[in-house]
Amino acid sequence: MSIDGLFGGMSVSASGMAAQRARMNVIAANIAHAQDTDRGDGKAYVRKEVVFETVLDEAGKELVRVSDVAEDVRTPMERIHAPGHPDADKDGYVTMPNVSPVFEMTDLVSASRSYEANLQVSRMLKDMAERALELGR
Amino acid sequence: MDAIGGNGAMIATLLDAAARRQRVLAANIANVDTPGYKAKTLEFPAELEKAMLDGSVPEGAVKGLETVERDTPMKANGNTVDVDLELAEMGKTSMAFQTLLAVSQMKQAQMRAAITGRG
Repeated sequence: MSIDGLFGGMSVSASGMAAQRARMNVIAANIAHAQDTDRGDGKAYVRKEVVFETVLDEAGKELVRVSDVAEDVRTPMERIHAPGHPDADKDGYVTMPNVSPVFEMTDLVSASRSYEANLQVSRMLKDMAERALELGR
Repeated sequence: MDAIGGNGAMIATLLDAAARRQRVLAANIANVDTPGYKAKTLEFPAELEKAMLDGSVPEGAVKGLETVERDTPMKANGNTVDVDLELAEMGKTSMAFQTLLAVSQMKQAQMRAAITGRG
C-alpha cells in the first residue's frame, strides 16, 4: 500500500514535468517567432500561452495537464514604421508580433523552476520507495 | 503480538499515512501553475495524534483521513500552492517515513536476535 502510494505520487510529478515542458516548448516558439510578421495568412504571429487544468485519474490522483494553448489576444501588437518592409501596409507600418523577449525569458525561468520542483519531488519519492524496499533485507 | 513486535501494525499504518501525504503534496507541486487550484494536505486529527503517542493507533485509522484545503494566501490566478512550503512539508514527511522505517528495522533485528540467540 505504501509503495503504491509513493509510485502514485511519482506519476503526479511526471504529469507536472510534462506540463511544464509543454509550457517551455510554447515559450520557445514565442521567442522563435518574435519577428515573424507573416504566419502564413498574411498576419503577424500572435504569442501563445498554455492553460493548465487539474484532471483526476481513476485512482483519484490530481494530475495536471495542458488543456489549451491559447493565443494571447489581450497583449497589443506593436506597429513599427518600416516602409521598406515587404509586409508594410499602405501607410508604411508593419504589425509586429506581441512577443516581449524579456517576458518570455522570465516565464521560461518560472517554468524551469516549476519543472525542477517536480523533479525534486520525484527524486524524494523514489528515495523513499527504495528505502522501504530495503526493509526486507 | 504480531511478527515484528507489538507496534508493527501501527508502524505500517503510519507509513501508509506518510505515503498518502506525500502523494497529496506532490499533486500540489504538480499543480503550481494551474489556475484556481487549491493546495491540499492530509491532516491528522487530534485523537489520532494522541493515539500515536499511546501507541494505540487502530488499523485502518489512516484510510478514513480526508484531504483538506490548506489556508495559504491566494495568488492572482486563484491558486494557493506555495512551492517552498510544499517542499518543506515533503521533506518533513520523508524524514518521518524514514524514522518509521528505522524503527521497523530495529524491531526486526531484535526479533532476529531473539530467534537465533545472537545479537
